[in-house]
Amino acid sequence: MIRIILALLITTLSTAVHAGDRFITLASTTSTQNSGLYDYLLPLFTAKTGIEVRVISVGTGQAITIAKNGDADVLLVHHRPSEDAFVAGGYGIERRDVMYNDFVIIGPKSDPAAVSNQTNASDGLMAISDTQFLFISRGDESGTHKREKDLWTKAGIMPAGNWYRDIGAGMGAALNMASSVNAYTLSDRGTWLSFGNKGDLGMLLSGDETLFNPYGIILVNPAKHAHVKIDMARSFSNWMVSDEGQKAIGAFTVQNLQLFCPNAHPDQNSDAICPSSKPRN
Amino acid sequence: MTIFGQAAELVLSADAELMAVVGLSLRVSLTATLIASLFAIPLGTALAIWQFPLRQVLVVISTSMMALPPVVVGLIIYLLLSRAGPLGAYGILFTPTAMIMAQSVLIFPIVLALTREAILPLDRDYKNLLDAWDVSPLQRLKTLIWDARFAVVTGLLAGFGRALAEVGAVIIVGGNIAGFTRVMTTTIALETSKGNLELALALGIVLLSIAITINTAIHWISSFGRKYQVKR
Amino acid sequence: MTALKLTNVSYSVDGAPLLHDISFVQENKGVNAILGPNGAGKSLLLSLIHGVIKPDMGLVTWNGISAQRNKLTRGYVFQTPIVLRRSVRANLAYPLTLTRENTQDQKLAIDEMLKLSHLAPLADQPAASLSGGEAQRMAIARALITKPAVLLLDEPCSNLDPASTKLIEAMIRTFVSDGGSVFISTHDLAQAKRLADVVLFIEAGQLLEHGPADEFFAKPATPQAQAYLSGDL
Repeated sequence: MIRIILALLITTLSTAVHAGDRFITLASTTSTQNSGLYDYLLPLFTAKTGIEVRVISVGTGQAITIAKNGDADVLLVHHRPSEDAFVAGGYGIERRDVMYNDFVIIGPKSDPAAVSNQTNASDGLMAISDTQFLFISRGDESGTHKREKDLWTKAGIMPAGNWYRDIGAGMGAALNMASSVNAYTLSDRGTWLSFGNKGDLGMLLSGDETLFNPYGIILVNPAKHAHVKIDMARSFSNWMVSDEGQKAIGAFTVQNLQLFCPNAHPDQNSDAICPSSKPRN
Repeated sequence: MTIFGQAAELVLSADAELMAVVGLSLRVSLTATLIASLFAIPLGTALAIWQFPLRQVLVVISTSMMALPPVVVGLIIYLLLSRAGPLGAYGILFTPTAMIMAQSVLIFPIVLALTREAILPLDRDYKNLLDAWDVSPLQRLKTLIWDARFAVVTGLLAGFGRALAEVGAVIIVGGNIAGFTRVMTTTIALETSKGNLELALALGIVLLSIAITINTAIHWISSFGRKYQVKR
Repeated sequence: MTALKLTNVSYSVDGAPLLHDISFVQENKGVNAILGPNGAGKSLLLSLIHGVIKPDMGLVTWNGISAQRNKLTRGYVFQTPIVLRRSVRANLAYPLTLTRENTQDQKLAIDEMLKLSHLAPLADQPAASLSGGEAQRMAIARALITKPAVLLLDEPCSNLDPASTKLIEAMIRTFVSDGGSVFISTHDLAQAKRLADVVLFIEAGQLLEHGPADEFFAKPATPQAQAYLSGDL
């Protein structure tokens, strides 16, 4: 009996210690993970370099904390102010643009607040606030949540009241709730397209430049955390912005729609790469 | 297709990813249960049979620890194992080992309290007899644990069930990494967050079936030895 | 022959004295019956003699050695038999595992005890399923299996029918004829007359009489003993 226990203990511990060193840890967001991008993209990178990428997908705030603590080698999130603060604080180096997608305003197909009549997102939110129809806010300091707050600020509104539901949860939970109570919410396009519980909801407003959602990739600073696998992390970052990586990003589709627009090299012919979700300009 | 049909199909197709996830769930929770029980069973017995100062305090603390939310345990273990924390250098974070650690902490108070409950009546019965033989503390421990083994194993199974069912601790310290630290419960959470509710429910049925199978097997095995238990 | 010696032994619980300044010497042979009314302190005295309880004051020694030591050389049988949740056979084997006898000797000893207690047909039954008489026989056999020099019994037959009592008294007689000595507390005066060589009479925590059994029953020295024997105490 004791021998079985010891055997189990040793097997488990050795798995942790001797697990091949050829991997990096990527801290990223649930929306990126849930879109399915990583399941498609990362095997391509691993096949080419032999480097395994382990993705921790959590809210933007948590991803940044993990990276600050040195528990990840590379960070990929979508909130420019937070990314800049991360670099300015000395936690990250070599920030690069990778891709963008966009946010969309989701709501009941019947659209009682007439959001789809508006031309920009802030006006759309104002319409919801004026009519006080249910709105679900993620409330979790994620990229999506921060963008939502920015849009309210732009509309000059501090949302408050029974109609504004701050749930402190991820995109999936927010969409599940919106679906079950027929509410409005802000979502990233990728999560929305691949979401399996749409119910009576539909996409009501999109394409506005204020809904533009750019992603940045940042290496965790080895000066702060000496153990960071900087070479392998850099080779991942390089691949993501390389022609090969950018093309792969552009080739990823959900329900035959391209989800992300590669923009590491915006001077290159990005129009051709990004037909459907390119923001109207 | 009903969710039961979906669950059956998942199991029968022996989907490689599902098998890996199930395997990891069992490995993590079983190991954690064994580790926690290794300490909790003798300690729970000691708590039942020996008087010492602070005994009541320890009993209250250990019973209250059963109410520890898994996510809090996960957070504490994360802070310990993070590179920014005291045990960061060992690189255990975001591995199955971290998950086993977190679940061991979670299960320990359960097995401790249930062992104590199992041993108390037996100690009452046996005390005078064992005192007359001047039985050593270690012998007393072994005798009581062995004779109360069915109730003790029930406590162990309760701990195992809790471990198998929890998601808050393992998702924080494991990171839910695809193909590496993803278990049944975190997969269910993930699929729920993607709105794939039927798939999540089907996975839930698979998880429940596994738990039922394991408990049935234990019950069946233990029925062989039960006849020496007191007939009431 | 080892001798039991009590010197000024007292025992109290919560300030109330239950046994008061008891002193005597008793050669370790034959059957010594401890008699007295309820609450006199018979069970307590037995426990102190065995060593499972320590006196508050005074000394209990066996052949000069404190009763706290070598407890396995003295078997103890409780009024209500305590059975381990195991088979009869496993119950008998248990004390042997404490002394770590080798398995071959164990088997012989167990078979011998099964025979002595007439429990061989029930050997593999759960001990919990035994009747009161059967369980008490098992308890005695279990106490005897380590070949103690002394057997102490606390009102062993008070809950049993005459048939069980007869079987148990036979076991006691066999033990004594093999050289062991017995201390038995009992309310059954007929039993005491059948078995006892020596009587110790206790009343209200004091040892009032200590002498040969036939003398005690024929002509008790103290008025309390007289009252007890005639049922007035």
